[in-house]
Amino acid sequence: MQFSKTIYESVIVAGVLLGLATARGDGLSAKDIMIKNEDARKLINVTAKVKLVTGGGGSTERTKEFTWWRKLGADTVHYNTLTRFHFPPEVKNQGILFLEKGDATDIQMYLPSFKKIRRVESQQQSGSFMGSEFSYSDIATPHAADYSHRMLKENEPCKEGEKATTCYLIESTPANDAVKERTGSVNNLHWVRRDNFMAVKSEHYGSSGELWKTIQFSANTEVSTKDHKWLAHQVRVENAKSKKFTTLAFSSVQVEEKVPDSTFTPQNLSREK
Amino acid sequence: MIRVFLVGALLALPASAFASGKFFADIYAPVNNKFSRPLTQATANLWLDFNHQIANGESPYSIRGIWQSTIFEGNNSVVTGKYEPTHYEGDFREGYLSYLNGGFEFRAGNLIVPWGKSDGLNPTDYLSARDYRHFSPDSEVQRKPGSGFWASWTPETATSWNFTAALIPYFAEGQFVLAPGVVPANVAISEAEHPGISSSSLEGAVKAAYTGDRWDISVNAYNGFNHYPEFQEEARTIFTPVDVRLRLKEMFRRQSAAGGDFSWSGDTWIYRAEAAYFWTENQEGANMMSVPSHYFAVVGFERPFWDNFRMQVQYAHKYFPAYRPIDEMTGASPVDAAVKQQIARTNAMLFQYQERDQGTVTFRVSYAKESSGWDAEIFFMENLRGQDFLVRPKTSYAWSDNLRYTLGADIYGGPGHRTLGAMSAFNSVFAEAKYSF
Repeated sequence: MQFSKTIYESVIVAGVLLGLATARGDGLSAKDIMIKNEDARKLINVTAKVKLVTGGGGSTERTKEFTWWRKLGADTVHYNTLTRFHFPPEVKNQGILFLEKGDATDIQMYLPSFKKIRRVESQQQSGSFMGSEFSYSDIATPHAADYSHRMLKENEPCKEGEKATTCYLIESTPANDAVKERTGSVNNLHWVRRDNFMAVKSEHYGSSGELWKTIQFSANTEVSTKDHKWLAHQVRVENAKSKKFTTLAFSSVQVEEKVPDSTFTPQNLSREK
Repeated sequence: MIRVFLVGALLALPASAFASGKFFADIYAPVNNKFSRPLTQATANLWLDFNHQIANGESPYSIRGIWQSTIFEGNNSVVTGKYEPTHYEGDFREGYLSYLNGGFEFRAGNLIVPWGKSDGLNPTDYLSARDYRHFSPDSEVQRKPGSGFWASWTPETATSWNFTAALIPYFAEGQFVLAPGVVPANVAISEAEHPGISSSSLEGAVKAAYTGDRWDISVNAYNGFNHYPEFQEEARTIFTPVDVRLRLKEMFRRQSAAGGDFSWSGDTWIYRAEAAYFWTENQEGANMMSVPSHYFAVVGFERPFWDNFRMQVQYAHKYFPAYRPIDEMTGASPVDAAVKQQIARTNAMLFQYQERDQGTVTFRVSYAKESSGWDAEIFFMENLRGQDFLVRPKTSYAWSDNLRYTLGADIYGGPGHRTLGAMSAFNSVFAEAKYSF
């Protein structure tokens, strides 16, 4: 059987185009992928119970438990988040309110022993959240628009927990000094699943260029089948230098119930429950 | 009556409502013992938190509060305020019925309502009071409740705003601690009589607050009482011009105030300001035995440095426009003038109106590394006019999630006739063990 020259050339062109499409992530740029990643976890309302465990590096393992409320703002980009601690007794009723506004996040902390609200400076937002390896800016939502993105690999083997899968490997650098100061990292690598655009791992590098911390996301679950939104139910961060770790485990996740705007006010922050 | 209601409500609550609280024991050992007993003060404290939603999980009503009980071992009745150095005190630190619906909340009962953003010195903290006779590494332990009603409203369509109102029929009673020598031997003191509940003893306060982008501001107004009693002469017996026996009583004076506070957080710094003007019963300065009307303002800033350190600096200023020198007070006779001047000097020392204006600086450096369980701080306060001061170093360690130990010292200094200098008899080292559950 002989093919015509035209068909033969068409097959070659198609093959080249397919190769190019694969090289660009199925037509998706690195920025597109990170936008899809942000979109995949963009829950309008979410309430959850969270268990935070710190340990490793020779330190005693400690557990904290809190309730977490999050609501997407009217601009559909920025979130308001409230955390209220229940355990251990020494931090019971401590609350932290995150109000995302543009480049900055307004963070206020309620201390029940003083019955007063204290603010957290921008510089401190890269500091430890409640003694954990997460920073305050980790708890607030990272946004794709805050970074410049570059595709490193399109079919990188990766794991979510013990499950093998394939990921895009994206490098993200802060778009401006405000983001750099708020997050504390100058460069980040993200492993993003090709099938659902959820991250399974990220590496964060400090100002010296050395690896600062690694975050692993697992038990990614589609919590809103209607809108195809996902939440990583297990998150683990490990400090590369000290080997200390922190895990977050989400449970009792509710996404259908509307969280009132009054939840994210200083007045509600100071209500002891 | 409120106490009866609260006790009744407490007894009706299920055991699960009392799931939390803390037990803490404090010991204050004198640095230079001027007392008959070995310890300045020792206390064993049990706080039981109760929190119960009425009817079911969706109900807007709940009963909340803290039952506070303390066994005191004090050096003498001047410190503890009681005749027996060893005694028990128990009461509702807080206990109220709460109604919560969206942005509106209402509370009725025993309430602690602290206002003001500054650290420790709060001009606008009209509604609460402290019992300074109860020594504690945590000054919040000293707060006393008032009994009344409190409401707060955040509009759903304007959540940056908040409006608060309080109506307090039975105000919080504060108490200074009287150092040895403040009360001469020829003076007897009758403890303060609270005016009780009546239309003339009602307190009211309102506040409007706005939260902006990394800043917030509030304005407020208040009409009520000074929660700390002044000395007033009750009776006098003159044996000779140099042998005068006095009986003083402690009086709560009426006052009104208007003020506000502000805070702003930058990249590295946090700035705070708080101020109020007080209209007292002594508006024109005619009776210097009573606190004159005055301004009270505090400005300060705070910032972190290195990894786990914070620094905080404040300047506070009091200004008494109608101040008159106490030495110029006259009386019906030289003895009468001397008695009035002595009462005025005592009140002026307690309420810091020994001059027309008074400046105070506070400085705090703290270290906290939660992952290690350690924290430490040094607090310093000085009244610039009299150069009397307080230094309080303190460190604590979280042995576990439930158990924390604290060690520290209270060191007062300066002239003995100044507010902080007079407290040097209570210079102590302290220790605390606290178990939270």
